[in-house]
Amino acid sequence: MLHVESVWLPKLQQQNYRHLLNAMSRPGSQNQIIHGVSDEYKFDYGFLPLLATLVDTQVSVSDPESLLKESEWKMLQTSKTEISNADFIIAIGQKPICEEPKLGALSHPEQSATVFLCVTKIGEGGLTIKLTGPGVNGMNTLKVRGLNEAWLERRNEWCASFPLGIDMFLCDRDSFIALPRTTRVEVM
Amino acid sequence: MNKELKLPRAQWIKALSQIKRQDLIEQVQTLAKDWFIKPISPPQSGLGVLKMKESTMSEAFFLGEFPLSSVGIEVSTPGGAMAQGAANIMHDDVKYAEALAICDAVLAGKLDGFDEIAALLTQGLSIFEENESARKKILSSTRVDFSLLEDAIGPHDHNTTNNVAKDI
Repeated sequence: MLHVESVWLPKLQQQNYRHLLNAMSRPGSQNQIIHGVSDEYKFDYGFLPLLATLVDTQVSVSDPESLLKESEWKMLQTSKTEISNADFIIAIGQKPICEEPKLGALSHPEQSATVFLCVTKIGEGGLTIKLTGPGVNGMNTLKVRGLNEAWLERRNEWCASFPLGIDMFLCDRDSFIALPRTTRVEVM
Repeated sequence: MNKELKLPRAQWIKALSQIKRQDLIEQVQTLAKDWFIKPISPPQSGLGVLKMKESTMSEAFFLGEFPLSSVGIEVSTPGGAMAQGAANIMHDDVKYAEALAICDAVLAGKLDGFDEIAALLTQGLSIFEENESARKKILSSTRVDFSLLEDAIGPHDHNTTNNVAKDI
């Protein structure tokens, strides 16, 4: 009778959670986004299965570019808020945000924002970034299409006073990488 | 049948949940077998808690645990009619909550099968009223009249109380 898309079901979310953990442990490693069976949720950006895995009623989400549909907000069961208060932010790689997200406090660095940044393609494109830091074996270089350099400049400013900062995921349609606050990112 | 219901929507689930679970599910399954039903919120079952704030430090705490199933749906019939329905029930049973949510949608959207579900609603309401009247009878028969205690206290009891007060 009732048809529930697999993106909202625990089985798929558990698989994506495993990939999120792997991505955070190995910054810059490209991980697959597992979509539902239906094509309805396989649109230009693949962040929705990851977001559905992480958010619930206890956290808030900011969507300044209105990437989420009203029906998806209801299924996520989370609250909308502005960038400065959001636990999760969804943004577009070509449009950097001006406002500062939550960076946490020294006593509670975990009370900071996680940013899902939608890019055109990971693994190809004109922008090459160099990653170093914990979880990276020496150095990792990566090409990205559809990412404005200003995003990385701001991200580096926000993450300059560790343990304060943000954690970031770059997502294209089918894959994603993590840039935790401990990772040093340089544009080559 | 007149498609206006006297009972307000907030009471529909309470009345319908008086119908035997299996009968309700079977009837709804027959009615909705060709319908497209999609969730508008994730169907969930488990334990519910009430989030409250204590009055001294205004810190949040969770009161109690109770079984809870919650379903919100949108129904589309082959005829093109659409309606939304929902049910929250204090049972760990999503299938039952789903059947009740479909009934809610049928009644709210006056979809095909309205008459059958309205009949179940009437039946459920009469069962509820019977149970409620039986409950009231039990309550009234066990009522304790504390005013009778006044008559039971004699003059000696009052003196004893005064003596104790003087000693203190």
